[in-house]
Amino acid sequence: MGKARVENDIRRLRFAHGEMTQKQLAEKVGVTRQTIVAIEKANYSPSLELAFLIAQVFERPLEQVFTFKPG
Amino acid sequence: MSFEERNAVISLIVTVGVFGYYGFRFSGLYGEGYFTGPDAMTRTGWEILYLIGYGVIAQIVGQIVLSIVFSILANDSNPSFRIDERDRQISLRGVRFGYGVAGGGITLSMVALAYGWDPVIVFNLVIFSLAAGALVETLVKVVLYRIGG
Repeated sequence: MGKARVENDIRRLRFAHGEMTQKQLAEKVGVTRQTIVAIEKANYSPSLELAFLIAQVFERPLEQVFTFKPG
Repeated sequence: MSFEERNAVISLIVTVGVFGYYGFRFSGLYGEGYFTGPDAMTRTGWEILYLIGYGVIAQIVGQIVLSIVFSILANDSNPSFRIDERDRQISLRGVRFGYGVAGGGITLSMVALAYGWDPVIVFNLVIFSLAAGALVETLVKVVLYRIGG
């Protein structure tokens, strides 16, 4: 069984929200820009709280921002 | 580079420098026979105290100087000091590896003591085990930051 991944649509959503930068999103949710980079690349799975915060910024339900890909 | 990642790199450089210097100094003094006779352990204790002293000073000075150098190199006049959940997670993973290495080194040091090694050497093996633990901890953190862990 491969490694499960939490994939996301953050990059597309950022551009849909006035070309929001990674730094701006990071400041809105209280993390570093590097963490947003890692999440976007699916190298890091955010905590449930952070995932909800990100979804809240884009005014979308969680499942429209993050998708779980079983390994 | 985030605040914590930069701290990890700086800590790595300073730790290698401090323990490199201490290892060089200790081996020189040991070769001269400074750690022989009834005062061997007292002298060892003082050397370790000096190590702690200049280690703390080197960490403080190193953090300040290298932080300035890194900011200049990155052309970042307003660096972020934020620490987030990913930093804490990476830090915990580093600590886990560090404890493993330090614990293994201390166990091997006790084996060496049990087999009759010079206590001065064993004492320094314990110190270097702790240093190796700290080094591995920082190295793991740097690697995890680089691979995006």
